[in-house]
Amino acid sequence: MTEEKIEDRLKRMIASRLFLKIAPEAIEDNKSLMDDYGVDSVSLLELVVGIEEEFGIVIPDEEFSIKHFATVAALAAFVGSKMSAE
Amino acid sequence: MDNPIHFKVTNQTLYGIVHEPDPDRAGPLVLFLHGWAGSRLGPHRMFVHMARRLTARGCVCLRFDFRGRGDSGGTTADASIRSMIADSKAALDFILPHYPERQVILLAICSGCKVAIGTAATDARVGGLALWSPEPMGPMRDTTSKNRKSLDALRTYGRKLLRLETWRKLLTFRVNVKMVKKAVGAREVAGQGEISDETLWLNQLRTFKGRMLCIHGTNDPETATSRAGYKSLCSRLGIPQEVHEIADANHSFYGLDWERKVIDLTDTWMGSR
Amino acid sequence: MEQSVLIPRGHDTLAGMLYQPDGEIRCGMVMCNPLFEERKSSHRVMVDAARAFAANGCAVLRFDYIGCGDSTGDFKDFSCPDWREDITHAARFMTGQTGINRLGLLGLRLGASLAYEATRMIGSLEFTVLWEPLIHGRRHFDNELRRKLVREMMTFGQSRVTRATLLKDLEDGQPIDLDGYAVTPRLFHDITSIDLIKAAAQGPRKVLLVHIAPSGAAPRELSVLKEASLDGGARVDLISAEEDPFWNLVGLVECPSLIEKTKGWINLITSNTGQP
Repeated sequence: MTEEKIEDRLKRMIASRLFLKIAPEAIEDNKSLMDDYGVDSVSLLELVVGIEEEFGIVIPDEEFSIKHFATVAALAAFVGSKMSAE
Repeated sequence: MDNPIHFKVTNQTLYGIVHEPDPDRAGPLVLFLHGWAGSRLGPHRMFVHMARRLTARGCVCLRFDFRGRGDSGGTTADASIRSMIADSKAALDFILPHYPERQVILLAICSGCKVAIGTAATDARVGGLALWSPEPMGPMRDTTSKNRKSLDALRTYGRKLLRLETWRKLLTFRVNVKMVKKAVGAREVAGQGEISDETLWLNQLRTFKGRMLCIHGTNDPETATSRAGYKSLCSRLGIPQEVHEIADANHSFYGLDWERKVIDLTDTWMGSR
Repeated sequence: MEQSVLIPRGHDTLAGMLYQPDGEIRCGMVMCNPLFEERKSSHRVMVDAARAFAANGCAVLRFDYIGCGDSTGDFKDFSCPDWREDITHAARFMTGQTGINRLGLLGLRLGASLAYEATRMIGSLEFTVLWEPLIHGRRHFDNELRRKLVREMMTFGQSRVTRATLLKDLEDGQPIDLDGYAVTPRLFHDITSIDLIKAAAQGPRKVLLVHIAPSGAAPRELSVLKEASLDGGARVDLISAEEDPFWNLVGLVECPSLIEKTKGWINLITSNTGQP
């Protein structure tokens, strides 16, 4: 069985936590989560909590940086690096 | 002294608070206009703080909830910038007879600034505009800000469309069908009517004889567009304009220090001639 | 019929709205707002609910705590004990204005926690409705601090503080800025001391717990609160309402399911039998 890619797991979470009326696979890796998918501060906190639960990682306060949360691709790279470190 | 008041607009009751200064103090009558989804309190209660400060300097202040907002009557989905302008004029009709000698200043935030412009453009009683985070209007608008608004609506109404109750309301027209269609179906062509209205009001503002204060936050994504747009407008129409930017502040000035600066600047502007 | 009211509180005044049924009044209810910007985001849903309950025979008083909304005072000068006291003032005012003796409380989020704890201060309460109560104040406050970091990140590109530095400021006696509200060390202490499970033995006797979320079952902590309240001898119903977390949303929402389910429970509890 192939392990699901981090990007795909993130897209599922984004679609469900933000109640977007689009399929997770329709979320593009390099589109802005804020400008194109309407992520705001409330939903971003939900995403942070969801990511910590889903991937078993902790996002320290010092790493609340927009560069990690700008796109699915950036978020996947960030989550991947945290998983490798833990 | 803060006193609750109410007045009627087309059979709906609008609720508000009048802040009255000591009777021997002179100052303008300040009408507060809140944003689209806000209330007469303003974000983090900054309208209350501002009103109490202005009352101490002799202003009469009226904060009220637009129809369909806050405590006021009317349905949420029926409100529009046009209805908000009508509400503002009704508020002036209500309060001005009690203070006929006072100059009228409209103090507005976010979408309330569009209401202030639309009111000042069509009501000669208005003598000044204090605009906090005014949004780009009419030709000032760029694609980014239009899309951001539609996305917000898309998310809200996208969720609602999933629900049986909402479909029932759609069928009985209790939900703003135009808004839903606009948000869900036709984002790129949405809002042309709104933009036309705004363009008209900006043109009509040439009859406005007052002055304007604009305060922006440097971290509000719309500041650059908005600042340039209002500067050009005031220059074209000969409106005396004072502009301030609050370093680092966001759209609704969500910080104690930002709020204090906005209030200080507005208080000073209000006292200047 | 609805009207603005002013509730005397010593030298201060609490601002409120009173909603009275046109016909027979079956019961009365004091609504307890949440705090901070949740008060703003939830405003219209609370108004919608008050009108719906009034149309159903329940007189409703909505009011602002001291230092909040249209009431007198500065937010930074007050804390949870003051606001619990305000609930008792509001309840007395409600009884005085309407002559109703079958009185209930309804609170949202921190307002629900305050209502829960205020129960013991009000002699005879018929029922208490808790919409998404904050059960553990410390957990809630930690989330609020994290939300502050997220908001900073979205404003500046990077959060400028950490929870550790904010907590250090509070320990050092300095207030911190939470979205334009001054959280004093006293308020921090009072919010983080909230523990409804511990307070359950002295909590209200007839309680409706409502979990509000677009989907999913009620979280475990609400079930634990239910069990603790049952152990304390209370009658407790726990339900879910499939609605958006309206207290956090910038846009305007409607919550028909939440209002209808709550109305149904109040009807049940205030009917002559009062039994399910």
